[in-house]
Amino acid sequence: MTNDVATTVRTLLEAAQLTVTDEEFEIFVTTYPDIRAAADAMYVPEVRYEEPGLNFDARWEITP
Amino acid sequence: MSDFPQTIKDAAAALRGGQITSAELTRALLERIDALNPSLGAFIAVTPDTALAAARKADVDLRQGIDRGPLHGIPLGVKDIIATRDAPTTANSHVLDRAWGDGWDAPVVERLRDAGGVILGKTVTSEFACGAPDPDNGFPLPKNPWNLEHSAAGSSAGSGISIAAGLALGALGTDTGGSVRGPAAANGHTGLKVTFGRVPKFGCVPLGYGLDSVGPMARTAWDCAALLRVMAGYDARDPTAANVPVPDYTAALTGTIRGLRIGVPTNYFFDVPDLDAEVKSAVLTGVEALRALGAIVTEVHLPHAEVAKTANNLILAADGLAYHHNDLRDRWLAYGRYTRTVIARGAMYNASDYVQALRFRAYFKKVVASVMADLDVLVTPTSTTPAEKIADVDMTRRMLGVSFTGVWNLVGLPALAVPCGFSSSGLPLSMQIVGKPFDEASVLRVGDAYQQGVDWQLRVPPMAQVAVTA
Repeated sequence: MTNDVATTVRTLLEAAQLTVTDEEFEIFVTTYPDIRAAADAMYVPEVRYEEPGLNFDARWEITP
Repeated sequence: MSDFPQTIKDAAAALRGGQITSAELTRALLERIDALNPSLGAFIAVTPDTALAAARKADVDLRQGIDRGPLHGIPLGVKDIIATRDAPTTANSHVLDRAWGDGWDAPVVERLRDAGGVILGKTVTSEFACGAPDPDNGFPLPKNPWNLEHSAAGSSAGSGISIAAGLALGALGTDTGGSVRGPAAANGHTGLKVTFGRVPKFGCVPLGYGLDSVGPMARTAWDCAALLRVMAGYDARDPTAANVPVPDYTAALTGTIRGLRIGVPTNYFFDVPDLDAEVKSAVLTGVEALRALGAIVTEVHLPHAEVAKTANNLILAADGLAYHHNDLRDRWLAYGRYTRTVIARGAMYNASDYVQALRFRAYFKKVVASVMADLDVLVTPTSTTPAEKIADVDMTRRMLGVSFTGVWNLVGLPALAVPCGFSSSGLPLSMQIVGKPFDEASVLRVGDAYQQGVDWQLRVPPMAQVAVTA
């Protein structure tokens, strides 16, 4: 499991082109399961039909 | 310090009453900065020449009958991620291009100057408004004036210290997940996170594009109201600035809250194991004081509050990584150790997580609106504990742990940190008053009414008292 997490973290960091120190890598490996669990907890049923709170204005020249 | 006014309100009266001039007040505070800043790490840059010139002009104007309002002649600090024309903006980082923000004022600073404010200099921030005090990054290390071994919190640490230690009468902070309210709580003064869009953030180094806000920090709610009256208002250069009217916030401070409806969300904010018993007791005592003033207090339930904190952190990390990506890729070690790992957390999430955080945000906004439908404000603790020791700061724990502040950034609501006591170890405690969108007037009114019956916000750390009378 730890090896799986380490592989996942290494892949994510490499994909983002980030080169961290060995100590920092260990911290990410240690905390990743909690980070992932917290993110998964956002997928609550009540949000099923919610639209994201985006605020994008397609008009041109909205600022001077 | 006893010879000089501690609050903007008192200083404004003393200036008009002829008891003091702005030049005298500014000079006194510059001397205090000289004496205390090496120990406290509040200011990264001080601008005595321009400050004294502005103070002298304020005095001349007042003598000629030109009165620009409560901030006229008042010495203020500006967090070092906001552009000012007379000092560099560094974001307390070796990475930020020094040409950024060089030679011009952010609109919010422009407004302070136009109102007669005297800018003393730039206050220390956690690097790029995130991370934590880092003894190794070569910038001043902010320390809590109530106990130098303890953190002044962040990221607007220098602004918080400068208020508590009497180095400035007001200051600007920014808040993406609690960076105005955290330092206000840790250092024992008042700080307001404004409604998202209330104050233009153009000219401010971004952290979370959809979460950032610029807010006032001062000893009292009245002083924050006076600052916000000047700071607030639309500016087209900030695409998220809201074009809504700006009320006279000080006029809203009636001193009475009789009949005002207060909700106390008992879940999460009062039942998490991480909540310090002294913090909980002080906040509940504060709630009772509000009830005694005539407020109607109701316990409420706020579902998924802990998830809201996660969503806020996720958006912050993702926005931050987008802004910093190329520099983190190319210059990882040029960032402070706390900053780079906080921002790099954005790489741990995927694109759908980001969209889900935004969907959750929309959902949670409805939840809060429903809970507050029959209420005026909510009251919670500002932080779980008093200021922690600098040596114990653990950013990993902080990012994964409980937070009572980021929840309100997610939904963009105004939230005021108000001192409500001291711990047995002599550190400040704080409660948070949360209002409806653009209803800063109500949270300030509650804070002001409470502060008329207590003096927590006026207490001065012993180390600052000694230096003042020297």
